[in-house]
Amino acid sequence: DISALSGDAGVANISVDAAIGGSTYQHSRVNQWSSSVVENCLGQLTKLGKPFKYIVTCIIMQKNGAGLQTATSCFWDNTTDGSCTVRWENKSMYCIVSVFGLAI
Amino acid sequence: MPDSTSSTAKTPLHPMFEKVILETGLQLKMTTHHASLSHDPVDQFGETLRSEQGVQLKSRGAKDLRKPRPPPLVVKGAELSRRNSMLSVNLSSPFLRRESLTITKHPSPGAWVHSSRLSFSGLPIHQPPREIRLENTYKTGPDDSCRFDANHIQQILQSTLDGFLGDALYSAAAGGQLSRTLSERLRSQIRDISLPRYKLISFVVVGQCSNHDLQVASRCLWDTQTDSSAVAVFQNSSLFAVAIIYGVYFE
Repeated sequence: DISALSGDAGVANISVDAAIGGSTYQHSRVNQWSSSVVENCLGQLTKLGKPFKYIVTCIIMQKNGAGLQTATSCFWDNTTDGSCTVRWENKSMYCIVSVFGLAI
Repeated sequence: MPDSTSSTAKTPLHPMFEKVILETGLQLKMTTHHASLSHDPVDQFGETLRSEQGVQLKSRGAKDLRKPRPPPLVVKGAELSRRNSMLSVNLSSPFLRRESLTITKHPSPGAWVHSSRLSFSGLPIHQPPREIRLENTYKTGPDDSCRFDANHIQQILQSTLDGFLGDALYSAAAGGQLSRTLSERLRSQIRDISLPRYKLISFVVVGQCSNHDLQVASRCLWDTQTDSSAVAVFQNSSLFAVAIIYGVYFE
């Protein structure tokens, strides 16, 4: 049910803040950051206990004036499946988190 | 009461009825106060409805008169809808939730009655989505030969990216369209070769090549035996592209 995903934007935001809240972009740590963002997010989603399979994607990009585009295209059942994307930024980096929920 | 004996659609209204009808539409008080009805008012009611509203009535038999009915009112939209809801309540139908109800009789308990419904302002009422009943396939998982083949799909992704983006230059205006087109193209390509019962998600990131760093990560909560993903990366002097396809088995 798509309405379940309206709460996921909040979940994603909280996960990102918790993982990389006040940090500055560091190449050596970005791997760990993206893993923790994604794991936090997925953990929160599973706690909701809904009958969904989840896919969580995270993009962390350094702020350097460059442009970035993302697009997704999905083949699924419109009435039961949905997605949501959250854009987060701080002074040194952007973070884009996408959550896809597919009903079982 | 000059109107009471006219032969038009108006018939005399018992004062108790009037009071009850005006209170709420769904009260059952009616059942304790009723005038003995002949067939004529009920038939007239049916006639009036058919002519004025054009709604299909299922044929009413004599057994409709088991329970007390209000005599026909002057046909106006709001009153009519309230009365119809009362009728249905009297029938102990499962449609108690609805305000403006169909004019059907005796729906079998537990089953939706699919009749054409019109609300009395002439607009169609939203029907609940009909459940599509498919036959049971008795399959709990994909066939062994029919799994999501990550290697094969990765090759397809890579070749499509190379072909599509070969010498493209990144531009902010065109970049959005480019990524959308790429995403849809990849999805439809994989869809063509993909297996039934697999849901696909295609995720494309296109960015400008400049002096910066980027990380794309994803994690999935799914059934590892049936679901999988494939990734392809492309880069040229002005742009880079990352394409990910997730295939999820639909039970």
